[in-house]
Amino acid sequence: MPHQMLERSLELTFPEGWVGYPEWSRFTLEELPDGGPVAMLQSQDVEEISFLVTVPRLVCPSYAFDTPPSVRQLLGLSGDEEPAALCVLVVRQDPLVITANLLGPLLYNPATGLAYQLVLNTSTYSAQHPVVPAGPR
Amino acid sequence: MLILSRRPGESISIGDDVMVTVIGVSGDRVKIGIEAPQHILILREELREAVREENRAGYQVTPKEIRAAIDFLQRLLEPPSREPTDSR
Repeated sequence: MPHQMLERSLELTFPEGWVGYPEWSRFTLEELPDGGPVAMLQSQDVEEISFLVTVPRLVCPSYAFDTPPSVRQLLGLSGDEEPAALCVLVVRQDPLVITANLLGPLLYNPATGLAYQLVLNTSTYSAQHPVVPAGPR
Repeated sequence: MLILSRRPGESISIGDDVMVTVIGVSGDRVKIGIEAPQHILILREELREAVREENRAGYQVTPKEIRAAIDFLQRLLEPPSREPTDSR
C-alpha cells in the first residue's frame, strides 16, 4: 500500500486535551506495518491509551468543515493554511463493525504538531459513521 | 446551578461578552439566541457528549482490533492517489 496520507511518526500535542479528556495531551502518530490507510495514535503519557485513526475523506469522500478562527490560531495556522485531519476509528466486535468519528475530527498542523479535537457544530456528520457494513466475514 | 426565569424577548448576560436571549417558546421547545465573541465555541451539548463517548470507546485498541480494521479498510477503501496530504 502506498503511504499516501499519513505522516511518519509525527508528534502531536493537544494543548487543550481531547473532548472530555483534557489530560490527553501528547501523542505520536505511528504508521502500522502493512497498515495502509490506518495509523495508530499512541499516547506518550499513558501506554494503555492508543487509537486507530484514518483520514476522514477515506471514509467519507465529501467530508468538509470550517475551522473556527480560534482553532486556527491555536494550531498556529497562518493565512489560508488548512489543518490536516484525522478521525478515530472504533472497532466493535460481534458482529464486527467499524465506525469513524466524523463529528469530532482531530485537526493538526503538520508543521508544528499542534493538534485540537474539534466538535463540528452540525448534525451532518455522525460520531459513529459506519465504515463497513455490519456482519461477520 | 443558577436558575433564572425568562420570558420571550428577555435576555441574560454572561460576563461582558456573552448575551443569551430567549427568542420564543413553542410547546416543549425553547428557541435561544446567543451573541458571543468568535473565539467562544458554542455547541449543542449532545454533540460534545457524542464525541466524548467515542473518545472513551476508541482507546485501548487491541491487536485484534487493529488487524480487523486494517483488513476491512484495505479491502474497502481505495485511497485516492491525488492530494497526498490534504485530508481536510
